[in-house]
Amino acid sequence: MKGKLALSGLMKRSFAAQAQAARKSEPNHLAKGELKTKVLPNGMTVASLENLSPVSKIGVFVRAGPRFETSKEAGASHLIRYAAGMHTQNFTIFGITRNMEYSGASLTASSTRDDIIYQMNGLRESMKDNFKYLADTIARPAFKFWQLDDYKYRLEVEIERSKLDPQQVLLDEVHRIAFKGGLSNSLYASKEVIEHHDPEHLSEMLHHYHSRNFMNKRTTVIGIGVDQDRLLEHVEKTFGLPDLSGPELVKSKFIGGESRIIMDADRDQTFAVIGTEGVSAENLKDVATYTLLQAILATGVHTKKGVGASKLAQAAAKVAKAPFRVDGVNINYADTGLFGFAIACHASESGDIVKAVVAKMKETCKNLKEEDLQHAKNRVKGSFALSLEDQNNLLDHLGMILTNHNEVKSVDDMEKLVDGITLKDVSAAAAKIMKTKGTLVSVGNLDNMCYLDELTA
Amino acid sequence: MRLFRTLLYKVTAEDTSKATLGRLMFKLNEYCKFGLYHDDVYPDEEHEAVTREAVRRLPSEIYHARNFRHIQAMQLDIQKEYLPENQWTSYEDDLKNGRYLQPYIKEVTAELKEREDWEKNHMK
Repeated sequence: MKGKLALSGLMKRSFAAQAQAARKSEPNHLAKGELKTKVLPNGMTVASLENLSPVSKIGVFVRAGPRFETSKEAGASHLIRYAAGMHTQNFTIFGITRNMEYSGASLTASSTRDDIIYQMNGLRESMKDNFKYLADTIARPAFKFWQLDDYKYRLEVEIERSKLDPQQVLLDEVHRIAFKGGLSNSLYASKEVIEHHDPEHLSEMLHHYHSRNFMNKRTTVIGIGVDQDRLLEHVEKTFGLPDLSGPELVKSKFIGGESRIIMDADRDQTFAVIGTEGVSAENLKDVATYTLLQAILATGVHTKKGVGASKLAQAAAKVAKAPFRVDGVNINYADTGLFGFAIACHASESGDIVKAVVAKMKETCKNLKEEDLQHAKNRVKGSFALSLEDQNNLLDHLGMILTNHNEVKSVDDMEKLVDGITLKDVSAAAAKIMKTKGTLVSVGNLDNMCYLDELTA
Repeated sequence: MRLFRTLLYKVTAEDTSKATLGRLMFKLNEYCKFGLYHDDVYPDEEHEAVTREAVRRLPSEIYHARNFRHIQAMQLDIQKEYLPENQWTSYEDDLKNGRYLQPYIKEVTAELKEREDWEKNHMK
């Protein structure tokens, strides 16, 4: 019995070995999944990563986020997001939703302050038919006024929900306070915009915003699990945005400041962001340096019900009795960024925790150690590689890099970049952070929350 | 009389070159005497839902003008009067501006047909 088993095992092994040998002779560049990028003559960037997956994912990044809204167009990017999937010039809402659903595909629109991001997921075979819906939704939306009115309730719910969530309110307020220029615009339209304008006016506004901002040059199409030639063919056949360059990106400036919003005081929670100026996504070395600094100070919680092993979390743990959380914040936009940390804690201890965390941050920044940097590098590399296992993160990462650079670093390159950063670089970044003006925004029950001047003193 | 009108309407609707017949029909229909347009009295009972939806999609300017003509016509009808003859809708004006509802009716009908076709093809 034993011999038989061993023999059958051997046979299996030899078959497997043969198969492996046969595979070795084939070129293996497909399995590696090389990223191919091409800038079309009209300025659009098209990139694809063929990973032979049965599922395809296409992301379209259009540089037309809220930061390009003028006062007259306040909230336009949110409305454009909301109008995705509605009537286009060639297709109806029924055609788009029913056909995509039938083939198991999905279409979503989201946005950062820089970009509006359309994402389509679906089976590989269905992409051929569904790409035209995606292209038409982006390039030729109809913005029928009666339809904007029909689904207004969804918009109202979205806006209402964004006002209920303290963390959402906090992030919006941080941008509003800390930046001068387009970056201070909210991701959400205000209630007044929807209530005070009739749908026809909104439709006109959207057409105007769309024709001013949706340009070939400002569009990046990224496909994961798609063949590059196929994708190029689809793009050339169905996309047709204007070739104009659109409005220039007006640089935003970090100005810092303080804001306090009392909200849900009965819940005894305080949420706060303490931040300074970060770096833009343009310079990858800076991004890596600040990410390392963030990793030294505070990263998220990696164990269930833990407080986190980071320096700042440990400092907060010394003064806190109730549960709390400290997280690093490092947001990079096209021209500037926000660096700092976010705190969520019980209202009775908020001032103490914030003060303890800021004191620890100052102490750490003045005296960075080589071993801390090494630990941070390991953590950053590990979490970066792990996060790219998720295709959504991969798409976001590629989008961030391609919209800002037109050239892509592979995971290996990014690791090399992280490895190449020295203690001197990080110390310089830390020194710069200590010098720039700060911002402190707090939301919740603020009875014990400290003020900005107490922290800078 | 009604049958005659319907027949005549069918003929004129199909071929606009029958202008004299059309003019005759236009006067016979009498809506011009209330200052109304062709699509204000769009004779479509069986497709009422389509017409309703089309009216809903009218740009507000056209929609309000239509409402104004309706109110004016009702007022005249109550008073058992017609407009003074120089204010009647002219045949040319009616041909030019009076079919304002048609593109919207076409749009709505196409949408309904798309839905029907889809269900025929996918829900066997």
